[in-house]
Amino acid sequence: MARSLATSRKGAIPATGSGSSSHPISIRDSNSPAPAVPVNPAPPAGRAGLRSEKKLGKITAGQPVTKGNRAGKSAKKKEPKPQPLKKECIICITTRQVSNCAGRGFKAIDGACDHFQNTCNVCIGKMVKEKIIKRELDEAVLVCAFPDCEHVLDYNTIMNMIFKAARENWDNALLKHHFSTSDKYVACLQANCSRYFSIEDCDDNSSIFKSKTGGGRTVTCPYCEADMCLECMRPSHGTDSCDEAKLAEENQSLELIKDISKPCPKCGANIQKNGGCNHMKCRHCKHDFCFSCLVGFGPMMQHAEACPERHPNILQDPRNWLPDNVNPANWMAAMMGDPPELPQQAGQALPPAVRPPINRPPNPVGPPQQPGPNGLFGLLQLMRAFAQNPPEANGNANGGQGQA
Amino acid sequence: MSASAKKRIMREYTECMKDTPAGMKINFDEQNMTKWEVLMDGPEGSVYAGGHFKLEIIFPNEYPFKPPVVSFRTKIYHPNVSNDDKGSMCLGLLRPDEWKPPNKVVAVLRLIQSLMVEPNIDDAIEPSIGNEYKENRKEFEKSAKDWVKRYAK
Ligand SMILES: [Zn+2]
Ligand SMILES: [Zn+2]
Ligand SMILES: [Zn+2]
Ligand SMILES: [Zn+2]
Ligand SMILES: [Zn+2]
Ligand SMILES: [Zn+2]
Ligand SMILES: [Zn+2]
Repeated sequence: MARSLATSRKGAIPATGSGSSSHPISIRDSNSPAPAVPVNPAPPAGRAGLRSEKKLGKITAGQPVTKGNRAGKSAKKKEPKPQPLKKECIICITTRQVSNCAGRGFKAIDGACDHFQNTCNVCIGKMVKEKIIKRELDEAVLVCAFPDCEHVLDYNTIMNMIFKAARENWDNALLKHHFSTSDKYVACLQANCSRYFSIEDCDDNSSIFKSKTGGGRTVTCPYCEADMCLECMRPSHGTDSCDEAKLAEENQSLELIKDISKPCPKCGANIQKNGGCNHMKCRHCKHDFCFSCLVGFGPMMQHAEACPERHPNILQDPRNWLPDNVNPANWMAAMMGDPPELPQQAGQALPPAVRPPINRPPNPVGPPQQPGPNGLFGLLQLMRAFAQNPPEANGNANGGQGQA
Repeated sequence: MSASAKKRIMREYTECMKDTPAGMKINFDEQNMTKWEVLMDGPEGSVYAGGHFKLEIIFPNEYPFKPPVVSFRTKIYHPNVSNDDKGSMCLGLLRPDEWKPPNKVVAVLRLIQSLMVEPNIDDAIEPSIGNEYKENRKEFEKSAKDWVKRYAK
């Protein structure tokens, strides 16, 4: 983490990369923002207003400008009603209101550097968007991009500044990234379950156990009760060792590959495979399916256990198991005890009746809270804090989070 | 392009006018401000001295959150300029992962000037020219000067 921050600091200084010391490039000139000076109350005489008007047309970054100044004469006539404080964003050069709302204006940030204080919420939102695109999701923060400034905006501050849509996008991206990189969460291997659960919590309830018969460490999905081996990330293989399980899986795959003609699982038309990959399309009904295990292709597709196309560890790429049409909020709800609505998959291998019953997890993760304005990722962090320091032991666990 | 992106570009143009790096002229069309044409003299003392180079700077819709795109419209023999009809440059602060929203075009212009004086061999887009610069400076200089005569006069 420290390294990634360090590199981003380095990147903030525009180096030519080639003997830059002899040809230094400064981008700081004309850019140091003026501090936000409240122009109201008691606006100065019209002359000052005119001067301010002039400046706006010229090039003074970060100058606060009031509506009254821009309106000119009309402001003179009426008794000055307190006008909202406005200032110019140093990134997008747009004059916006200072307010306490997320979205279009500036949200006053206590203690932030001048750069962040003079960067509008819209620009903060766009910086967050760039972070998502570049998958810079290890740290849920923004580091000031100005040279020689180390200021960091934290998750909650940012969430209170940006638009709802940007907030949700970032939150989803952070959650996905968190789950996919955390070794404390696994996704159930069952195609019709695939929910995340925390291994740590299972441990508390002794769901993880060293198999008495010598197999690997297994864990039981709290939702569908399917067992999986944590050593090889295959479905539980009883008394066999992981290597034996692997061999058995490979042999089974070979058996399956022998078949070269199968009926389409949807319309029954005879499909023959002549080389090529296992992703087949029925000529007759256009159904997409895996020739090896006959499971239909779709966003929630998961090959059958013995299928050679099945990846041993579906956690390797989050995009494999968390399709974009599934809202991580559902997964979150699942972890807290409410089973999510899974989208119906075309050509599902198992008819709905065969789906295992959904059980509530024996141990919901953390206190049952509603996702607050600070987002699901924030809630996740909170819950983890709770798990480590229960509220009785640490009454301050929620401190400093709840500013609206 | 958003109104705020245009404002930012307009502001940068005004700043560039006040403080244009030596030997540069910027053609700015207010109707199409996302494309700047820059006329740059080869820096004195460099192999490109005496040449006049036309560059194009294109601002993406997401500017300043994504970097401007720089290309040489005049052919130039240089390790950091692609030797094709694009003449593109992508190094240092021009790289999307290096670019920061506070960066300014004027810094980009200065970067290009300094690269004409001293190429960045480690980040060469034309490794063969970069290698020649390192191993056989005489030959590099001859080719670079030839190209100036042929294309940049
Ligand atoms: Zn700063
Ligand atoms: Zn802005
Ligand atoms: Zn399950
Ligand atoms: Zn195993
Ligand atoms: Zn069919
Ligand atoms: Zn294929
Ligand atoms: Zn399959």
